Amino acid sequence: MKSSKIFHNSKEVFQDIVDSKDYVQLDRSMAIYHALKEAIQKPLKMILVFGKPGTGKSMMLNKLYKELSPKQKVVYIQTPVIDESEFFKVLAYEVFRFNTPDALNFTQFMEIANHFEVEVTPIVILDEAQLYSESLMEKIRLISDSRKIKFIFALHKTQKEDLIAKEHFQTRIWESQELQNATASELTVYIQKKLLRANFFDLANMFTEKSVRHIHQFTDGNYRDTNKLLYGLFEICSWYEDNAPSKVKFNAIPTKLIEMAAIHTGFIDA
Amino acid sequence: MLDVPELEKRWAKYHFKKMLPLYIMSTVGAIILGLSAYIYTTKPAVVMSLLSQEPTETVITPSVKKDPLPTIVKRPVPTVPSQNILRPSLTFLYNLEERVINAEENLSPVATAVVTDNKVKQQIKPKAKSKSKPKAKPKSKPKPKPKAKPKQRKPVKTKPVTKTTHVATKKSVVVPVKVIHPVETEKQSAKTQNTLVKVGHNTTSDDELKGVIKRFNRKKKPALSLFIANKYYEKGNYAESYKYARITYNLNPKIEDSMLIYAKSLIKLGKKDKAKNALTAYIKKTGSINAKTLLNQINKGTFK
Repeated sequence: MKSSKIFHNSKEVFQDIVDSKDYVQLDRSMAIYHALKEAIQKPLKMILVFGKPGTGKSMMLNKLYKELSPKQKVVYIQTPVIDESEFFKVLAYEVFRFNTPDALNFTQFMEIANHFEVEVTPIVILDEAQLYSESLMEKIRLISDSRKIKFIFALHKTQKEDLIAKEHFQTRIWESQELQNATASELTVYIQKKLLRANFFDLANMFTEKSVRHIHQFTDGNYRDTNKLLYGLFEICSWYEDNAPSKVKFNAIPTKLIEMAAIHTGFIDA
Repeated sequence: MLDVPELEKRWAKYHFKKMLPLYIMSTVGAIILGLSAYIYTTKPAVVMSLLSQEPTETVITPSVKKDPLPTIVKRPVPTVPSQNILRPSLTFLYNLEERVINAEENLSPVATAVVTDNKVKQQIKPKAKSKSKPKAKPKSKPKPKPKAKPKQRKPVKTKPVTKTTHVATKKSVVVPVKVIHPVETEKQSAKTQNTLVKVGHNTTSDDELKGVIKRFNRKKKPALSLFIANKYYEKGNYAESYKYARITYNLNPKIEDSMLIYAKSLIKLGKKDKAKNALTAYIKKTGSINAKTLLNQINKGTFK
């Protein structure tokens, strides 16, 4: 890749898209991932994955879905289905391939579930679980109690305490995994791996520990925020590449540009 | 839409705000440096005087020898030249602070002497009681035995020009003292017949002590207060030594001697329990071996 075009396509690498292909394997996140896979093998009714927004929950669940789906029935509901009838319809279709144009309530769904016999308990992954209503969550609990479906919830950390506080969940969530923001060194690996995977070798070398520490200052190691900042950074770099190439350095990312990207993306109020 | 020129302007503002404290500190630093340089170049005397007033930072451990250094010693057996043993003296603190240092003089075992009236009384009196009955007149100075000729440093005769001595000489009497120095050769002893012995090398006159107290009141240095505490203890003024040891400890609890003097003074003042408590607490805090030793002495009743 020619250095004159180095920044043009690089920003696409940091688009905030949930795709398991883009999942960057870091030591800590992989440990959590394996723990989660082991938890699925256990006879647990519910599994909880929680963490702040942007810590990689959705990405991890996506990867889990991609990995497990060839082996067993896995349903990944990324966008919460708030309406109860709609939720049961979606669940009946996705899990048992039962389709009906009519509304479906909990009792009807349980009848359908009892009608189907499955060898391996299907897994339903519910992302953004904090958005489900309490009454619906209660019904989900009853479904998991029947062991017809195993649920994996992903929710924001702030909701975790509320969820755990509810008595009916205290005895049922037997496994929980917390995802956290990356440290500066983890963030270095994350950025470099992402760039290397897209064959931006020169760019990957430009992200020294110093410059990543600077980025970490603004994003606190949050992957979503980091992606956002780096997208802005490469946009700025592309502009300089086109309009003022003499100001572009190809051996390191200047602090000025990182700060400009932070201003652009709102991490700095200037 | 990305507007990089506008973004650059915003960055410049942000950068200026970010660096402002650094700029201010640098400017203030530069101003202070410039002023200091200006004062130093234009009025070096002022700077030097200011600098010279600063005492040394070393913590002085005074020699807590109760018995004053004998000034006139008659030794029948000239084998042990103990008179030449150099003892640490706190007067160097004086000399340093008064900017008049004469190290050689301080090192000389027997040299010229400046004796205050009080000292002469104090130091000659015990001699009169001694069996040897030393005569005060130089004429009656007996020759030292020629056998004892261990190699020794020749006494350096220098003029006592230190400010300390200058202060002392105002009230002092220069007394030719008979010196019986067992280790001197005949020639040396002949020379010393008419020399003046510096008496009270380790002693401090009341005036000097007052001077130190004045300086302490001005500067509040723990080294000075410790010095005062020691001197008062030596003089037997235990109430004052207690007071200054306590002040020293408050100024710098790390100075072990302050606690030792403090405890010793308390003992002398009859407050044995208080002294033991203070030492116990101090040992617990610092693990001081000297404090433990003192406490043991107190407990066994061997402390005097």
